[in-house]
Amino acid sequence: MKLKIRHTLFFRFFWTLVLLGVMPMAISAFFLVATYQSRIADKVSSGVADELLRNASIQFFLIFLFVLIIATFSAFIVSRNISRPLRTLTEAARLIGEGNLNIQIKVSRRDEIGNLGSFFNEMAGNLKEVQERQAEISRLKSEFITVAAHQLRTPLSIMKWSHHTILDGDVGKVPIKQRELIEKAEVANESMIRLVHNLLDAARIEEGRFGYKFDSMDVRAFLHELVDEKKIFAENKNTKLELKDSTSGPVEISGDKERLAMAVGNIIDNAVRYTPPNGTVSVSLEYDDAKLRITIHDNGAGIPQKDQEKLFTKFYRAQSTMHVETEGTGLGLFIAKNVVEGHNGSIWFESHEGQGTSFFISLPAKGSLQAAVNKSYDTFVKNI
Amino acid sequence: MTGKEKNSSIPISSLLKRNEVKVLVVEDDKFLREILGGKLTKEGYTVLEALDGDQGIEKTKSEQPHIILLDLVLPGADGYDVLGRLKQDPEVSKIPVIVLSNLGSREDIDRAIALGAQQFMVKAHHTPQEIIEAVKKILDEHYLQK
Repeated sequence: MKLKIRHTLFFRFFWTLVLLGVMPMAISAFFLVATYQSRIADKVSSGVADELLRNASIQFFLIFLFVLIIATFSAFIVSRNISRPLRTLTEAARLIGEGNLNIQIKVSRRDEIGNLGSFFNEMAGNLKEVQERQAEISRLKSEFITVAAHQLRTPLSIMKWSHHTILDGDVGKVPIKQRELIEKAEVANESMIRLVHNLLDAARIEEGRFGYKFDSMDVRAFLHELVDEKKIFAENKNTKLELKDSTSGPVEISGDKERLAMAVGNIIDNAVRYTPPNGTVSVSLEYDDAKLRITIHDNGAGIPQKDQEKLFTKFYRAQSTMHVETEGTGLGLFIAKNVVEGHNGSIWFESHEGQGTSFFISLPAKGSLQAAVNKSYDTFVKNI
Repeated sequence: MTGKEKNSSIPISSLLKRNEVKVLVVEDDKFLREILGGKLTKEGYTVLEALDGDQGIEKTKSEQPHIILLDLVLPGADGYDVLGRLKQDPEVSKIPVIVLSNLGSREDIDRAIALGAQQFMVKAHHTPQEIIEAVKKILDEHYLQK
């Protein structure tokens, strides 16, 4: 903690004490000179007068020195007495700000600072209780989602397998009308399966168990492959999906291919879903030394201003899309954001209603990926 | 000579014609077992069924199947347990195992693969036909290309 000397408590106490010491001295000097001028000056010889004046100035100088020494010393004691516990409290407050609530301040003083310390301990204790309760609720919620999702997957697989067994003709020929119905049922079933899958991922993200496996990968090849894969989906929606690649060779980064495919894939899916038929979704890849950027642009409806800040939250779907037929789960962007941030990258967007939306994903180039910093949460113990 | 060695010298396609490729399905859900069993039978495989982990191990040892489709959440010994025990037993350790489960997190997949599973398939993410394709592919790789 670096402070400029002018702003320290020591400096302020020092000047206050110096002023308090020097002021009576100055007043006394003023009266002495006044008395000398009016009463004594004409009654003694100039030699005596000079000696008196010299004596007086030496006296005043010594008193001034004494005041300076005493003021320095007292200012040091008083300011240390106040600023040391304050510094401890500041450090504790900083830790709370960072999320570490294991704080024990041993209060041995009974003055105002002691009170502050006691209240501080109480506050940290309460915050810790709230934090623990929230962590427990979040854990229970994730556990519930995990159990529920697994329980859901069995009947969903039974439905999926049954639909496909019928559609494959394994139990006899299926008339066209019945086939259409079963195909529709299977589309609905598939969207439930996707929802369960995303719910499980979201729960794992929240539990901090969504591990990454970083490997060297070529983003260029990865993106070409992904866009090719998504082309079928886009064609079914009558949307043109194109890739604008401004790179000339392999672009190596350290990344988790599967998770990145999920993140970028989710955004491409969204762009295709929310673009009216005959629209265009373009994916572009740009790379310069340190940074790599993937842009997914659509000329769809755009995201209304009021919906923009909540876009990356779970289950959020823009108002204007509610009545549009879409089969998103509301979890895609939440997952995408977490995956990109898990790669030390960033994700943001620009959108204009009626004109379209651009999502930007920026990832650090190979080598600049840093391991996530693990915060240590040791207990902070100090006396005040 | 173990059953596996005996089988591995005969081309799988000729075995298929004679309904001699044995697939063991270890699955506690009756309906899923039936659907998968039906599909496999239709494709010409001989299907063996086990309802829990212990039965799975028992049947593997007595019947020496060519491939095992193994669920993870099972009554009694769970799928990981079964997989671990099978892979430790030199009599049956070479039989390929496809884990077929509705678990499917990275930890689950890594654990199953580390224990020696050939492939991990999430039931809800694959159609019965895709599972048959996987069975064919693994049988091919395991018995023909050696």
